Amino acid sequence: MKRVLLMAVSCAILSAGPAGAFVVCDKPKPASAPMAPAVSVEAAWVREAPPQAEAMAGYMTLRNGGKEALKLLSAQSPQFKTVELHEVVTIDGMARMQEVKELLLPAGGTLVFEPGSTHIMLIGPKKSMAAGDKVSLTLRFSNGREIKSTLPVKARQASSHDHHEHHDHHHHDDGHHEN
Amino acid sequence: MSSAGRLLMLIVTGVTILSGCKAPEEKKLYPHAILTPEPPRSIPDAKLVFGDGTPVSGDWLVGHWTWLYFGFANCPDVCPMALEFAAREYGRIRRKDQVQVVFVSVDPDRDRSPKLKSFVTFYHPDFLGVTGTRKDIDTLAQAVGASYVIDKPAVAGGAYNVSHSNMVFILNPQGQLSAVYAPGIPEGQMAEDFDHLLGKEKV
Repeated sequence: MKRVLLMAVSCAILSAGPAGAFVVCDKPKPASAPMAPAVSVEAAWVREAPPQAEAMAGYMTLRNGGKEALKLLSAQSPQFKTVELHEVVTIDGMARMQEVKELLLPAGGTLVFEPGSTHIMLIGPKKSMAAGDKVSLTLRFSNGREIKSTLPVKARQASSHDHHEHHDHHHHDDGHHEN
Repeated sequence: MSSAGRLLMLIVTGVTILSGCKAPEEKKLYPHAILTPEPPRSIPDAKLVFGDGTPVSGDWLVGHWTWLYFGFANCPDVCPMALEFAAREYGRIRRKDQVQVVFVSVDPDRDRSPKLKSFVTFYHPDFLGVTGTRKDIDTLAQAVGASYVIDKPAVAGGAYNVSHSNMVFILNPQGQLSAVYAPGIPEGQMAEDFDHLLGKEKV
């Protein structure tokens, strides 16, 4: 924890996009020419969960613009007690969620976190989160680099893959007002 | 309680159901289902309870179609996707009065609590959340061909994960398993099947 905070001091905000601002943190280095960020975060979001939820799932696409393959080793958020990297495997129709210790982000490639597949498991929210809230996440890579990202919590209809013309959304207005 | 840490497998998976299936040619009632047991399979009695402990009435599966899903409320990814799927398909069908969506928690240690209701109704106010003793859950799960595994917590009393079937089991108004749908099939297909079915059924 302390180490993360220390490293955060050396962070610089590099970009702000629709997915939220992200920050690339490097270990303190001798002054040198600024480098393009090797890793960028796209389409980051957290699935809104019921108010009492003890776990939430976050999704994003990581893009490695560098020439070096990286491994994502861990993630942390000050808003959650624990953050784990999870994947879902389906065997005989049974979905099994399991923690993974590292995930490969190939040079020039992407690492995709998406519903029903690899996701960031956010466990034990320190306070209940709803759509519109933002989750701060720090990702730590094998080369010691850390990336900070802000993931907006999105309502469930936003996560729908529903492209049909007229489906009713009326029921989506329910259930938000509990607690 | 005794369940945590034990590998609880109900090895009656979809494969078993499949063996009892044949592909209906002309009168295909559930064209978008992945399994259609023929004839529909009877379900033995299972005495389930709502999250707050209130017993579910004995005839809860009779007189309407039931969409059953097995999961757990601490599930952040797979169950929400399936419940969103069910909510969208349910939202589309015309005869909502003929369909009851029921989420069965296979994790009573954590979900026999009022939070089960708030979890389930978060996805649709008409949805019901039920659970029960391990024995009753197993009776129901085995009968429809659902399976689940409750992991051992890494530390005593700590969080644990639950693996479970990711299927929507359809019971007909006689309470018999008559089809199985996979969440994530193209939008509207399941609703289309039910609009077709309920339009013809004289209930």
